[in-house]
Amino acid sequence: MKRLLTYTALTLSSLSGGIWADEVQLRSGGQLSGEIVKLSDDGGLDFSYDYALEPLVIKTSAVSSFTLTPQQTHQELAFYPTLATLKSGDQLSGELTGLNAEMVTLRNESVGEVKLPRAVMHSLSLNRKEEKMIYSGPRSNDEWVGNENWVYSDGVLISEGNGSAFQDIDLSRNFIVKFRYQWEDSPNFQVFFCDPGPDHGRQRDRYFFHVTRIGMDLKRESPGQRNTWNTLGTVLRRTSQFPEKSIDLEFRVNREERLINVLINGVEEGRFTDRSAGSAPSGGGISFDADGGGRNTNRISQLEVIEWDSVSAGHRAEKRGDATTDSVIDTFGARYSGVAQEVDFGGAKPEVVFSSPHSNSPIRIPLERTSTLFFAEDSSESSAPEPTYLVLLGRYGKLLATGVNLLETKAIVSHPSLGDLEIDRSIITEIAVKGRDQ
Amino acid sequence: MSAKVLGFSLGLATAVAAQDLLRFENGDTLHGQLEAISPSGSVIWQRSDIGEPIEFSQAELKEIVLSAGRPELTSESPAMVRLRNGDTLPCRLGEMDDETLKVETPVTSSLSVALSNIAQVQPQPFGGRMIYQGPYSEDRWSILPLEKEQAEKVETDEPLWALIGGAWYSNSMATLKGDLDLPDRFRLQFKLGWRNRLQVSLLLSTDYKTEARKEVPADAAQNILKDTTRPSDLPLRFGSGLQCNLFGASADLIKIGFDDQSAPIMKRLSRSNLSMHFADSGESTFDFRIDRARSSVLLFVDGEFGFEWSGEAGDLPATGPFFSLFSLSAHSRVRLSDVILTDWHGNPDGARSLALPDRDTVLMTNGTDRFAGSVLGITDGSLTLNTPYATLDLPLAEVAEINLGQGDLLRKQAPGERRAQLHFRPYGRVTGELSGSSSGSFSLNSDALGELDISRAHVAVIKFGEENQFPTWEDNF
Repeated sequence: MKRLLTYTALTLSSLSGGIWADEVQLRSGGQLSGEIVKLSDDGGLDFSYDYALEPLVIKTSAVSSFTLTPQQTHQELAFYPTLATLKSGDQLSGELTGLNAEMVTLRNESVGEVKLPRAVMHSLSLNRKEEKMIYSGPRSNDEWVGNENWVYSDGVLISEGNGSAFQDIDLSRNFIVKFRYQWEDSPNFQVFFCDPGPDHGRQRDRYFFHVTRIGMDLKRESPGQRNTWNTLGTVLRRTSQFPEKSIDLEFRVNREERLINVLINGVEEGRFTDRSAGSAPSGGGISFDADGGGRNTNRISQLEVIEWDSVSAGHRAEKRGDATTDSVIDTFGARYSGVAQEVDFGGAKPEVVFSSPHSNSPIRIPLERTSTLFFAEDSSESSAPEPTYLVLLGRYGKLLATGVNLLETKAIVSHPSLGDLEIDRSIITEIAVKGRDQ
Repeated sequence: MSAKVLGFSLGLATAVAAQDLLRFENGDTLHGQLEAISPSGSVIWQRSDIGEPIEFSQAELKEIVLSAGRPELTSESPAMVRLRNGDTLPCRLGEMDDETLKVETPVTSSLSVALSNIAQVQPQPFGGRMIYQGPYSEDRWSILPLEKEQAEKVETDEPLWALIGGAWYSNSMATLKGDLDLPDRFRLQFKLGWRNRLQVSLLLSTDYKTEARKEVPADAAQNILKDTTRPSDLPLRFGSGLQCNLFGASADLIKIGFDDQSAPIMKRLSRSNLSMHFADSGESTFDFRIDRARSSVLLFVDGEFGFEWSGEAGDLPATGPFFSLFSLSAHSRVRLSDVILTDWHGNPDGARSLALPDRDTVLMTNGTDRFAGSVLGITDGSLTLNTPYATLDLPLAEVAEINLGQGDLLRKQAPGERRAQLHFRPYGRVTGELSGSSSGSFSLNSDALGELDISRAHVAVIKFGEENQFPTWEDNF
């Protein structure tokens, strides 16, 4: 289970005009409106409440969530192709401005310049491509064609009997599709992707994920092949394991390597390879198919399709290998072990200067050809204090914190290893509080 | 079938004691001795009950199994070269320049192979220290008596398992136990043949520590995975370890062992529908890569990805040294051969993402490092590779694979093309026109290597005709 799930989420956003209207949801069921002033490392939440004479100090353990209104969408923020990942799991994107024997330096317009000691670094992911949103919905009934027994209502696509709904989304070569699936009674539902389009009653070359009461399978439908329906993988989960009858499904589809990752509620359930003859299906559509009788209702919401930089993600997800050395992967996939000495910004183009046991002189890899840099692990014990919060920065990453001081436009995030970071308050999307048992 | 009685002998079989077997295209078989290959390519066959040798055309033959598939000498070599036509040459690597690679191979004389014919060079073909290779004898193998429930289903007086021609053949549901000394992290490759559907249970890293264990209590059914295997007392038979059940198109991975009160437990770790479907009878190469410390299990079948399971640290039981298998059905038969156990570096990613047309690529034995560029040569045990960033000197001892260009790795034999494939044990193959024999060797005009004299003592099987023939099942030597 991902570590994030051990935190209680506090959702932040901001009002325009610099006025913060936060809502605090208490675990006991109450709700307060006011302004979050500070999240301190002793587990207290300082809250300015209009009807109280003094600011309230609320135990964060008593809070289930709090929200603000967004000031700007994260799509409006600059995209940085460099992402630093710390050993703690923290991530921060920015412009790489320095790398030497002691430090990695990143600059981000909302966080400023951040110096990251190599001892806390896990990896740098460079030259990432921006993952563009291809589609966000559902938005209306009209966008779904070949529609049989599916209706749109208030952001949700609802099946009212057996039938399918298709949309040509112009899927990119590699993409991520995710949505929330809810059901009543007994689920029997299929989502198709790389679907060439409705052709009533006829088989099509496409992938599909089948959810039933007894299990979930990822399959390839290949008309004309010896095995028309080839199972690529089975997810060892039963829908009875989700008593709330709701799951967040995510498929990361790499058509070039014919690899499909399946995630449920953010947790990877399998990485499946399509070994069928020929190439991956080339269709650009998605369709939903409800089955199992007219009484069963299926709901699709929060559907997002994102162009996926699968190459960078693949390099980032590689096994670490020998953790006593640094390791660099170039954009073609070659990988070297050794020591990353520095990034030389003095020439026409910046270069990673890397010493390899197989070369007498340091190797110089153009920064623009560098995909991933893993850092050697420091075996010394960490003396950093235990964090209380996880601060989510949207597309800029996430940071652990021992305390968070929310000012009018800034937030002071006290990081266990990096000290106090002054960041733009508007980029904080959520703050998760560590559970009492964690 | 046309046969001609000859009045001469070429004397090839004089040093061979074990019986050979001839299999015809129509399925007929004939025991005897391969006497010679005539200059015209005919097969000269000798039987003690027939006075004169018989001559057969290669066009009528499917294969010849020599010395019961158990050649006098193995082809074991430190390195392997894979040619563009799919042939594999076990060898010791010599010098390489920009045109040729010199190799010494036990199956023929020293060779100078044109690089244009080489798809891949494997200085460390198995990626790690060799721990076991076989089975060439019954050493390290034993056959466990049938469980009472199994014995009731057996209606044969034949041995439960028989070692024939370098392969174990099952005749029952009895367990074949191999004391192979499986380490914590290993790669186990083997060929598995089957008849009457693939239904086999593999026991990996079991310890057979079953003493002082409790019997399965009648009310403890919840501790036993109900729908996995029968009988459900596997921990009492095999101790702690992993069980992998293989079926026609799926694989179950199950952890077996005991709980804190020494009661047997079984926990299914994964159920995978394999992308490959196994026919009712067939043979495949299975390749397990297991890292206990990282709780990781990978299976490849015939070089294709089968399944991957990874859990949290501690999910896998303590490692035992044994590898065992038994048939899950009284009606199906299995054959185990070509077992190779090596250390494994533990990194499954390899060069999955490194695919550069027109570039040479090099994979290192640590399982992570890989380079692309142009191979300049091999001298003094070191490979020189020119990359876009530097010229690297790579110790051959640390190189797992050198892929020369990324052209057609395997050229399939054209339909109707008549070639002979000479197979060695435990690995290796050369293809060409079989055009004669002399004392102790075959004359082969290889597609890629030219005229060769192949040592008969190394040849296990000669296959004729097209590839992808049905695998043979010869347990009647």
